[in-house]
Amino acid sequence: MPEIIPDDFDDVMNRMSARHGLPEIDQLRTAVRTDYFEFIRARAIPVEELNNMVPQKYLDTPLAYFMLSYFAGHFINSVRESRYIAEQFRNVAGVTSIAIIDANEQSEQLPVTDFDVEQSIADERTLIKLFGEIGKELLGEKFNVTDFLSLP
Amino acid sequence: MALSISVDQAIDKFFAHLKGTSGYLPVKAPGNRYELFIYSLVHNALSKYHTLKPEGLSATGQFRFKASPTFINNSFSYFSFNGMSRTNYELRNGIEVKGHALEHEIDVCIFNKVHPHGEYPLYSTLIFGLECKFYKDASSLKGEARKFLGAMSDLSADSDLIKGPQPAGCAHFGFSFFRAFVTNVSSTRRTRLQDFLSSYHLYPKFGIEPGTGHTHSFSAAIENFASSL
Repeated sequence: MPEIIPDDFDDVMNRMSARHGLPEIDQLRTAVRTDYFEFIRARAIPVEELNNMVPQKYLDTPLAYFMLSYFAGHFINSVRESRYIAEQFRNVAGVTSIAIIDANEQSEQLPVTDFDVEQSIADERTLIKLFGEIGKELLGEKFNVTDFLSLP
Repeated sequence: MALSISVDQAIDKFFAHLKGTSGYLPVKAPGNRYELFIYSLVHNALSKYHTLKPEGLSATGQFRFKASPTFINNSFSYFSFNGMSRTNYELRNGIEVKGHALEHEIDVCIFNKVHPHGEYPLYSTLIFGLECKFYKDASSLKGEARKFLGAMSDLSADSDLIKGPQPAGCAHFGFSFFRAFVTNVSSTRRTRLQDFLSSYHLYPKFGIEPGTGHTHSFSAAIENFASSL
């Protein structure tokens, strides 16, 4: 599979950001670009540690690798984090929800008593399946979702 | 190569499903959610040995988690508990702790003293402090690790008046609290940075994400700490 190029990556992320309006899409785009270009610079002047940023298997497709890494790190893990938090706080008497409150008193809400753990697990499974489809589209047969996510 | 329509469609399906995922919390700053995840991890470990009581809940039972550094601020929620020796402890987050020369934010912290609202707790009452870093990109970690060393040096167990006007702390003076630099960045990356932190006894904990082996060992270390309180 040929590697994608940064402009195409930007285009697709712009479209997704406009279509879905998730703030984390923009953060992901910036993070992927930063790591990608750092890797490209490191490859020109060999720096052992930076070259280890990308596993051997994906050295010819670093942008796709970073993209998939951040999808897993930002989105799939965020679902797991939210579920873990809700499950822990369910054991705390009196807590019904959590508000993450910033310096401007703006808050983001995570349900606790209303959190549907079973549904979250099912949703995560579907998300992993869809993630696997993105991986196959980008990297072809060399992509294995189980290996990539270190699933048991 | 331009991305094919099928790539676009696959990504689109992923985000469409994500938006409807039960309990998915889209946040402007994923670092705040990550800090809450680590806070929950610590709460869980402490709960194995102690009964933690939530403080500062809203009337509707909302836990008000602080996402910006401040002094001890009781308008936000936290947990209190008693140790075996009847010491009163508090598990808080985002607190500016007074070091030898300056105040430094500690993301997840435990104090062995009940501090009044509005106070900057002194480093000597800090018994547990974690720096939580959800990566935006791995390259920013180097700067974060250096900042962490600077802050920790000022919170060291001892200090010396070298030139003044403030006493100077130093990592070589040792520490009187459990500490770690916690991140979701994989343990296979930034190994020299991890060595750098380890050299100063600052305990890098990489790969701390839900369900990983690293997370289990880290939880076990916190449980071990909790058992000593």
